[in-house]
Amino acid sequence: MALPAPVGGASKSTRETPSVRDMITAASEVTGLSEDRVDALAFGTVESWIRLRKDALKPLRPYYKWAGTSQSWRMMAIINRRSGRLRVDINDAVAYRTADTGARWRAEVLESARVRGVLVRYAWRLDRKDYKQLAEWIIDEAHADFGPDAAVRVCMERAAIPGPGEPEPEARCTWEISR
Amino acid sequence: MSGGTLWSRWKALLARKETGEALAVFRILVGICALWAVVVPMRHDVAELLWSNAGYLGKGPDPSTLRWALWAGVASSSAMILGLGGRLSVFITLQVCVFFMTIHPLASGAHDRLIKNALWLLVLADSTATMSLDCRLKTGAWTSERLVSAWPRYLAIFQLFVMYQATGIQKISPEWTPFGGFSALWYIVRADMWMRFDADWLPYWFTQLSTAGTWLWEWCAWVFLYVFWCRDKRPPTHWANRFDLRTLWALWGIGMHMILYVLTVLGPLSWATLAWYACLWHPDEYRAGWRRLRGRWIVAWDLLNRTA
Repeated sequence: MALPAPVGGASKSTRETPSVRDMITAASEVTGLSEDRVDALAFGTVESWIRLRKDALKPLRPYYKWAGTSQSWRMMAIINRRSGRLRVDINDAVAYRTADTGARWRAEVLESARVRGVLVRYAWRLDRKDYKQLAEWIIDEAHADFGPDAAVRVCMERAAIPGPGEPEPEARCTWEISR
Repeated sequence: MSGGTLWSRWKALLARKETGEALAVFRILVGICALWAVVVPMRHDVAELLWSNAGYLGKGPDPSTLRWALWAGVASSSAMILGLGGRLSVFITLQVCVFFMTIHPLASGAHDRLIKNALWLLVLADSTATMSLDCRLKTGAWTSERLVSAWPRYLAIFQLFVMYQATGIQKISPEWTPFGGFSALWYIVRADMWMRFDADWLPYWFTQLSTAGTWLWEWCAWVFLYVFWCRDKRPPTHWANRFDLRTLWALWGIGMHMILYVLTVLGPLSWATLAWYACLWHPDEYRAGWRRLRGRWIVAWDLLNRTA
């Protein structure tokens, strides 16, 4: 229901993010507490709140399900410094790549706001099973457009987002599926 | 005794009435956002891909049932905008939104949740008392001075406070804070999945300023709630009432949301949030604003006629 909660913000991956570790080190230096203590204080509180919220909302589930009032008011709580983009190669040429003005095959579908919302999850290496299903659908569409013999490769290109003044890093293709 | 006093204050708050202009504007803006959320995926068969059993997940209704649901959403959200069907059209719009979110939760964003929360509040509120087709059919006029409960507007203001305060507190990435150099927006506008266009031309200081502005503004949402309390409980000479801090706060928010809208692709998130701002102003202020605007139009029209 419409009670705040940083769902996902207390996950192990978030806690191990270099920038979060830097912040814990800085807070430890300022407060004089050990890093483990700062970590336990910060994330322990968050975890307790998430648990409490979950228990409190359990009996109200049918109400907020039908009233549509599920909202944790968490918007961009975590900044991921790694970016991911969908890439589709057809016959060894880049046919589509997210935000690439030179590779626009099916861009109107793959770059619509809702599909982008789904792709963000895959860019963060989540929901791999769903990703495979999307990749298969893309391959089927490519075969329909370019013929059944076309060699199609779908992957998520990942790279760190460069900080100010840093060079653009090389992107790496992951979760590759081809047919 | 004090419990009794609190209870009677609570009852008095719930019993407050006002005319319905603010809720009517809120209804129209939320209706436009809901229409946007339903119509945009209809283009290029995106809806079919995400929400039908012919889509990539194979989940959901068949494409023809989906089309019916989509058109039901178009009809009900349009009826909401026009103010036709009272709470029923709002409830149908809400159920259509709930239906799509249930099929594929990943394909919905924060804007869907904001819209659904607003829709539920509008189901509970009497938002078609004025500026609606319902009003026209009942009274013969487009507007009416019929009084409606004020608590849905208060609740909308409280939800805005909760949204911003909670969002501010929950921004746990150091990039939002001085520890991370206020660099959050630098990374957000460069994430391929969110970027609207190449933002290399955007200076670092601008993203830092916007990040710090957003973070501080969200953390200070309690001030906004305090200002509202002062408007109700404190005399006009109180420091919080000497200037219209509420409008200043709203303008800051509009600026931040516009920056986010221009630089990123997040669906109608900015518009869905700004729709709630309609409840910040009292119906009397809407009426006074309208009178001023109409007065200026009449003067301008007269001037134009004389010049001609």
